[in-house]
This record gives sequence, structure tokens and C-alpha cells, in this order.
Amino acid sequence: MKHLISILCSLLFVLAIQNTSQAQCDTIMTLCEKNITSQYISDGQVYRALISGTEVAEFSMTLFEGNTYRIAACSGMEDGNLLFTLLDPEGQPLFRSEDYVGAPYWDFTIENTIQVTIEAKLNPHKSQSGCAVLVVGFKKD
Amino acid sequence: MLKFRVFSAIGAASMALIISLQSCQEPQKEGNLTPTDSVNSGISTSGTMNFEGEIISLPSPIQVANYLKKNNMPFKQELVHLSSAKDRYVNETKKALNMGVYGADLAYISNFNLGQQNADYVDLVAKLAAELGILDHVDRKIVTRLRSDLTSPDSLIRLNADLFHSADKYLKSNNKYDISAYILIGGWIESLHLAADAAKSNEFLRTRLGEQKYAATSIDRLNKKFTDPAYEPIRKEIEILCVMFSQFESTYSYRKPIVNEETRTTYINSKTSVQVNEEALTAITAQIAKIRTLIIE
Repeated sequence: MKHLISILCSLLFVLAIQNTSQAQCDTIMTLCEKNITSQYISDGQVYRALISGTEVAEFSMTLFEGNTYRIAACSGMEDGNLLFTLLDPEGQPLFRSEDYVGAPYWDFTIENTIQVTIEAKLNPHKSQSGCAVLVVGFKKD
Repeated sequence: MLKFRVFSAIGAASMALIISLQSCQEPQKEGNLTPTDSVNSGISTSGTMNFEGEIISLPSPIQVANYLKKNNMPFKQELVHLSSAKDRYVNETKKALNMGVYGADLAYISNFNLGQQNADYVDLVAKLAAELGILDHVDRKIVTRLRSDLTSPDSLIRLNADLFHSADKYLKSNNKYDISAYILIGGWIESLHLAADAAKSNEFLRTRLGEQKYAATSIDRLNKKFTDPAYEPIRKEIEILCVMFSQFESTYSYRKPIVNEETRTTYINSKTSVQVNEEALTAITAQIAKIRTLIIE
């Protein structure tokens, strides 16, 4: 019986932590969406990950010619907690937010369609772990 | 390097704990988890999450619709999926795929001030979202405005995007990654179908279609992870489509981006090209049509 109670307590504990993490992600997402202002249209997707330490989250994205995209990166409640980098198909950096004081969002005007890799990591001076959220919009003509 | 892990170790541990508890308490049920159960729960039998925590990005159907508008492509009723077909879809996978299809169609027709037809497609998307248990969790203001701002193309396009963003947010927050992915794939295939038709007569759109080869790489990885038997015929054909896209020749040459710090803008000027010849276009158009038929039938 004692054993069962301790297992149930452990279970409730981890579930509570997980729910807290999800709620934290949802709050960060809502804050991050504010960077996609009325000039921009959401790409309809959300990109989120729970990362810690020096872990790097990455994904590929096609940026189509003639468009201006806004990419916003957030973690925690302050700007600059999440740093992001855009890499070209050869792995060369096209943009690093840490070169611009950890800018929480940036616009990209695309001359030719390009496949980029977006890497996101926590700012080691500000955060050790947390929910990483990226939102993407493109400018309406 | 971590490949965009979505779930925390804590989350995985808790799921593992739940599964171990279930297997301790109900040993008679062990081995009864069907592939469909696994997909619907978002948890595989090994305790790891679907899609291995990988994030996939697909081009928005709205971008394709914008390109069609910019190139003055006329509206073609025969290209959009029948509104009367909605009731054909009984399983969750087909509902999700067709929610994506109707969403892409809504983006397409939004550009043409079609009055009642706009309203019909808004309703179709909303009804499928409701049947998938999504509608109650998206911002009600979006749905209300979608139904009242039907005459403004700009507003309709924005609200359509907001609805799908809100749905994706809910699904990913609730570990329903499979539903989210099926919606994206349905939308992607429908936008390819619209682009392929325009590509027959428009060089610019033919190139844009060819550039979907980049997204096809992501789709191919995602496609391999589905386990629902209802999706299996579609999965096989999408795999063939991705191989066809991969055969398009492309080039890339780096050019230094130009940065305007004041406007927080980087101009990306690298040169890329994708070659799509007539024969390849015909073949890929036929393959897209085949997949679309499997999705909407």
C-alpha cells in the first residue's frame, strides 16, 4: 500500500511538472505571437521545444522569393532569452540574432527562394532551460 | 545536436511512468495497443512520442494562393474540392487531411470575392475542426470574424491563417502531433494541385512548384512516421512524389546578405534555381492528382 502511494505521488508530481511546462510554453507562445504584427500573416504553424543548457533546436524552412518573413524567437518572459541563427543550404550563417543584442524578432526579405536551417538555443547568460518558441509570419502585399 | 526535441525529459519520464504503471496494474492489456491507438494517444508503445520530437515546417498554402493572385491566374471552380464531400470522411485521419485541403481551397477562393462560396468553405473548415475536437479550443473571435468578414479578401486570408495557427497551437500543446501533421499535409497537397495547374501555362509558377522540392525533403521524413493504416496508400504515393521532387536539378550560390539594422531587416540575395522540364511537370502533376484523389475520395 505504502509502495502504491509513493508511486502515485511520484506520478502526480511528474504530471504536475509536465502540465506546468506545457502551460509555460503556451504563455510564451502567446507573448511571442505579439511580434507577428498586423502587417504579417501567420504561416499557420507553431514551432516549440523544451531545451536546456547548450542544446540546439533546429528545423528547415523554405523561404519563397519575393516575400518578407518575420521570425520571432522567444523563451521565458523577456526578450533575448532565445538566440536564433539562419543557415543557408551550405551551412553558412545568413543571420545570427546574437549579433544584434539577441533581437527577439527579425525580418528577412528573400530575393530567390532558399531553403534555410533555423537553429535556436538558449542565451547562456539569461537562461539554463525552458520552452523555446518560434513563430513565423510573412508580409501581406 | 538536438533535432528539435519537443518533449522534455520530464515529459518522457512521466509518460514512461504512466506506461509502466499501466503495465504493472493491468498486465492482461499488454500487447493490445493497436497502431491506431498509438497514434491517437500520441504515445508509442516504447514510451517515446510520435514523430520523434522532430519539428517539420511546410510552406503555407496562403503563399501559393498569393502567387496565383499576383500572376492573375483566373479562378477555376473545377480545381477546388467539392463542398458536398465533407460527409465522406469518417475517420480522424481523413478529416484532418481534408481540413487541410479545404483550408488551402479557402485561401485560393478568398482572392476572388465569391460570396456564398467563401461562407461555405469557412463552414467546412469549421465543421471539420469541430469534429476533430479543435474548434472549442481556438480563439472564438477568429471564428466569429471569419463568418462576418467574408467580403474582405485580406481579412479572410488573415483569419484563415490565424485559425490554422490557433488549431496547430492547440494540437501541439496537447500532443496531437499526428492530427496537426495530417492537416499540414492535406493543405500542402492541395496547394501543389493548384500550383501544378497554373504551372502548365506560367513559367514563374512552374519554378515555384519546382521549389517545393525543398519542402518535400521535410515531408518525406514526416511521411515515414505515420502508422495509421488509413493513411498507408497515401504514404506510399507521397513517398514517390518526394522522390520525383528530389530529381529536379537545383543550384545554389551564396551571396552576402545585406542588413538594415534600423528596420531590423536582412536582405537574403543568394542565388538559387530549380529546373522543371515539360516531361517532369507532366509526371509530377499526375502524381499530385493521384495523391489528392486518395485524400479526398
